[in-house]
Order: sequence, then structure tokens, then C-alpha cells
Amino acid sequence: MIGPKETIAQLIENVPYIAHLGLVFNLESGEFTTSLPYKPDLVGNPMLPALHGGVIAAMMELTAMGQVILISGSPELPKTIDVSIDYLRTGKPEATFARATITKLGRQVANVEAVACQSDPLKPIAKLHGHFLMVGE
Amino acid sequence: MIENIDPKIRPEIWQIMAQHTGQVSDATPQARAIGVIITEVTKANATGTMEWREDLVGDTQSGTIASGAVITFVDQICGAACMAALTEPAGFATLDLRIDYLRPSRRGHNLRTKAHCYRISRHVAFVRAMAFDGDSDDDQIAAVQATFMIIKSRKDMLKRTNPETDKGESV
Repeated sequence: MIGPKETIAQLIENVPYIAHLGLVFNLESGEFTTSLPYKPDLVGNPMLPALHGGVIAAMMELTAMGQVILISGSPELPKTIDVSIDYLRTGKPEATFARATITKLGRQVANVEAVACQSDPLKPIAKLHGHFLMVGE
Repeated sequence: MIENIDPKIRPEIWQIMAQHTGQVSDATPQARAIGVIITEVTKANATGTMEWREDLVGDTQSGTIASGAVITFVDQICGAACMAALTEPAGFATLDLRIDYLRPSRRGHNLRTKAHCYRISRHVAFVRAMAFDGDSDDDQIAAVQATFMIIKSRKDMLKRTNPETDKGESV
């Protein structure tokens, strides 16, 4: 079996969109987290300014997928069946962090929750709940 | 469409939006970054497209567009449908969004989303959308349900992002 570092490296290689977003995967601290450094083209509302909701959703979803790959030990890309996002606070133009928890890892489907926050970890800006298919069709 | 309207009557928001279709949105940097174009607007309805692009791919083997990019795209078109339902200018923010994937999109296929705001009240708008990877209605790849909060004044909107006044209440 390949290690967590190689698994995540494979994920990044398989998903060009991760580089487009600029998402960073952190494995060092023992807990798996992701961070999204701020860049101007992630903004959805320049008047506020605020990050685009879709960017925050994308980040949480990729974090959830990373967590599924790490826990299941299978390098195969999980397929998104559905995701549901609750937006709690405006995403400020600064770095965003996300972590994901697997609620249930079934043989075919993983039930995952993810949360994103910014400078204050006690003030989540968005939550995600999703189902991922773990086997090829 | 606009020419037939009595100039004394102020055009509705959707009519102004309909005049600016077909161009990449300059107002939303992230929509521009992924190439979202609003192609058609009618009252409470919006249609948009997003071109297939290598850097938006979510699986190099299948060439399907990453779910994250699809979410940004549908969120943008749902927001446009919400805006096209407004009777007076207001800000709005996505409260929640759910997307169901019927199947992965195909390599090289451009995406298209149709969104309809089927109910708007003073504070909340409800939007449904369908995403396709082809011209036919049989090409549906995803179903979306989104809720938007209507923010009447700019003062309210700014208050929500000011850390001085943000005592942790939800948006």
C-alpha cells in the first residue's frame, strides 16, 4: 500500500482543477487539512469583497475527497454523487482552511462532512455534506 | 425586446440583464476565471455556458469537469436567475446549494445551465437549476436546488463583513 503523501500527490496529479484553484493539502500536523491562499480571481463579489461561494464549496469538496482517499486507502478517485453546502458567513479575501470527517465509510458510498473557516477557527464560514461513490461504474 | 418598452417606464432588472448577455462577466472575477457566460435572461430565468477546459478537469482519465468548477458555474447562473426575479435592486448571498450528479460530464463537452427562480419573497429566493453537457435535454448531468438570502441595503451588506460588528451571528 502506498503512503498518504503519495496518495495525495496522485490526487493532485489526477485533478488539474486543484492547481487552478491553488488548493494546498497539509498532512504534516497529523490531521489532514487543506488551505486555500487568497488570490484576486477567487472573488465572487468585488463590492464586499467576498470569495465566490463555489470556490469555498470546491475547496470543501476536494478536502472531503482527499479524506475519503486517505481513510479508504484506495487511490481511486471517489465520484461525487451529491453535495449540499450551507453558507454561514461571508468568505473574506484572506486564506481559508478546511477539514473533513467521514461519518460512514461504506463499501460503495462514503458519507462525508466538511467545514471551512478563516482566521477564527470557531467561526466556520461554510459546511458541506456529501455522498461519494467509491467504486467504478 | 427593450426597444418596445415605453421609455417612461423604468426597465425591469431582468431586461437590463438581458441586454448584457453573451459576454464573460466582468463583475465576478471567479466567474471570469472559469469562463462563465450568461447567454439568455428572461424574468426569473437565466441560462449560461462554460467551455470545457483542461485546467478545470476533475479526473484526467475521464476528462470530466471538476465538481467544484461545476458548483461555481451553477451557483453563478442560479444567482443570475435570482437577480432576474428581483423587482428592485438588492444584494443577495447564497444560503445553501445542493447538487445531485446524474453522471460525470464528458471530455471536451461544454456545459450549459438553466436556472429558474420559482419563488422570491422579501428575504429569500428559491432557485432550481439543471446542468447539461450538450444541447439536448437528454444531456442532463446535474440537478441543483439553491436558496438565496436577499439583502436590501448596501449598509446591511457591509455590516455583515465588518469584523467590528460581526459578533458571530450568521449571515
